[in-house]
Amino acid sequence: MKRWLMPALAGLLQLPTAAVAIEWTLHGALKNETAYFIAGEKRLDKLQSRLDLKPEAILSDRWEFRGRVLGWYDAAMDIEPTNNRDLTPGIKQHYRTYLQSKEAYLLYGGDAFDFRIGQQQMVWGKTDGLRMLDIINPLDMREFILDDFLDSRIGLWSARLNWYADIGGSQHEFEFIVIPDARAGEFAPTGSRWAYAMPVAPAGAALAVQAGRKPGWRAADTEAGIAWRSNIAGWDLSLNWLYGWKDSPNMQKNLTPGLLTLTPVYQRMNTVGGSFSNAFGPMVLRGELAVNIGEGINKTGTTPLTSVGRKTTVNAAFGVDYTKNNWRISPQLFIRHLPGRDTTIAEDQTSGFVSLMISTDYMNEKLKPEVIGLYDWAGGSWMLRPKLAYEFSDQIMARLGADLFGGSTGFFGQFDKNDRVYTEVEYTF
Amino acid sequence: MLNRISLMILGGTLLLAAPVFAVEPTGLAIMQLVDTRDDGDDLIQKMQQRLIDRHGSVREREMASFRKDYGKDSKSITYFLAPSNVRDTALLTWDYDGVEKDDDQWLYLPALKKVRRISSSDRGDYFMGTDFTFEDIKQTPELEDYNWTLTGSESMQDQDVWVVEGVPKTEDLKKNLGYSKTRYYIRKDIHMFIRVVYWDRKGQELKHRLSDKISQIDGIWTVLHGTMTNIQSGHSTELIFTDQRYNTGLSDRMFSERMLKRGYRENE
Repeated sequence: MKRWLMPALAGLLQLPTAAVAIEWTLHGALKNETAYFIAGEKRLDKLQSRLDLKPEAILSDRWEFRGRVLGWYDAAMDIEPTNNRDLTPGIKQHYRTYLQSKEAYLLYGGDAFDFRIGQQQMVWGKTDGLRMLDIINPLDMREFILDDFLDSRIGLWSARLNWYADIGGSQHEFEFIVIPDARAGEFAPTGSRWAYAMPVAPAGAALAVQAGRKPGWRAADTEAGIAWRSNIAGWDLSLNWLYGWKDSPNMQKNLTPGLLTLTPVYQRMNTVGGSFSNAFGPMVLRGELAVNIGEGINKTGTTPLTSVGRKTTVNAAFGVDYTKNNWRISPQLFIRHLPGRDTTIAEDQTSGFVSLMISTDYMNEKLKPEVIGLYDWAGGSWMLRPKLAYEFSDQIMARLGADLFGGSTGFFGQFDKNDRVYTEVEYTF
Repeated sequence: MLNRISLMILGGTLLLAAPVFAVEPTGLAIMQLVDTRDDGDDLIQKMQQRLIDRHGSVREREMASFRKDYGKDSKSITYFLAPSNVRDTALLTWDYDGVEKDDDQWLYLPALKKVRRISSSDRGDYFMGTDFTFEDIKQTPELEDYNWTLTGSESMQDQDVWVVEGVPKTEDLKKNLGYSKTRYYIRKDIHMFIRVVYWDRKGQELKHRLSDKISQIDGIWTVLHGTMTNIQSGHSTELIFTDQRYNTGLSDRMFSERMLKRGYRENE
């Protein structure tokens, strides 16, 4: 958190006190999340006691404050014995406790505009489960992509103006975003069970990973974005542009006799795209396009110059939500294409995913079964996430589910030994 | 001569009988009276839902809703205020008159921080775990979808009511609406229905709806308390309406994606 921002926010929060009584509310949740690995080495993955607090305040007719803090203690890190593989003291320390502000911003609601300043989560796009246009906030991927995005998104200190105009008889929204607090995604620590597979060192060579230069709170690293949204002839449309950073680094290699050195390289890119959705009878069609101009990519070389490059990538998604007789069926198709790819690039020219979500409910929405499947058709790996939720009362909800992985390589296959079952019990207030 | 006398007698009989037959409008005409009764140009109100299962276990929800008429069309936005697990969820509906165009609906889900376009075509789907379908929560059903028949008059809650039955016109509509027949009990003096009985697609009696507290607010007859009971499952939904304000001149901007995301403000 930036040193000058919190006092500034606190000062602003004090401003209206003289004239208007501030109305504070506090909501949140207490939750236990327990997961157990049923593949690979069977053990507790987590035994988390989580506290989620959402303070809000109405400061005046126009000003509001909205915040969210998430923290937990994971007892599994004290129950499971320490080892020198996936539960080293460092890995345990990473997972044992967590305390972060997810959002803390002031909102000014004008007649024709909303202005937000502070730490925010900003969401673009229409797809579920995987992100193409939803790229403003990086993710904390300590549990791969299994955590809810709301919990895994890293809040960014930023200013956002949404301006609303009536043009040609329809409402148009123009969004302007400036993010001085540029951040990269956070990843599971090397060696842990949710860490991404690292490049393999040639036989006889050791592997060393150096720290890279992450984007940070520097004028030169500032991110900026613009979006337009409207409903035209029944279609919800958006156009988006973000000048930002790729959340995940590319691995620059340097192979010297007996040593392969990897250095994470974080690179700038422009993302230009848009999204659409519309309803036709029982179906909702939705999709989005994100063209990443100058996206960092991994190459097959083993020198700093030949192992990392830049390329324009085209990322598109198309989905359908079909609703009938209390059943919801949502297939999605994600495609990633690299025009003009050559053989030095370490990924397929065209890759992607298909996903399918099926859900329904019984007992007046007390019991909600759901299953989500994702298939990485280029890598041949998959993930299946069945879940059953039961609402005991207005405050108490329980969930039982599993996260299952298949394939030997690829986006999901690298976690083939991480199949797990889990329970969640949540008390909301 | 005989013909002339017969015509005179017949004419006299018809004249005498005419007032008796003319006072009873058709089923469709009565439903049109329900549809066109004064319900204000706009309305702000709070609503409490009590979802009661057959064991007596109760779940409660609080909502605030805003509605504005645009000719025969209307727009509404409903914010969920409590309990905490649905708080900030909001539903925006652009309700088009007639059956030519499906309503437009958007749902804001705070857990996703996204506004989702949702299909409104399956009007028989149940609304947020209540015993009301999306069709039921409309102020009046789409009149063109049913064949309406006046089946009689009776007294109910110390009021004279018409009894009007509506049967969906096609099998597809029966499937879509989830009903094979509906029966409305409509107060003759204020053109409001105070009881409705619904039969499921198989012809079995399914639900009873009762509006048992009605009052005039700002000169407009308003339901303050109602219950929908599913007699097959034993589950019921109680609705309590409060804090009504009519004709406040709600701004068009209330009914937009912006306000779905902004959330509820008391002083809108």
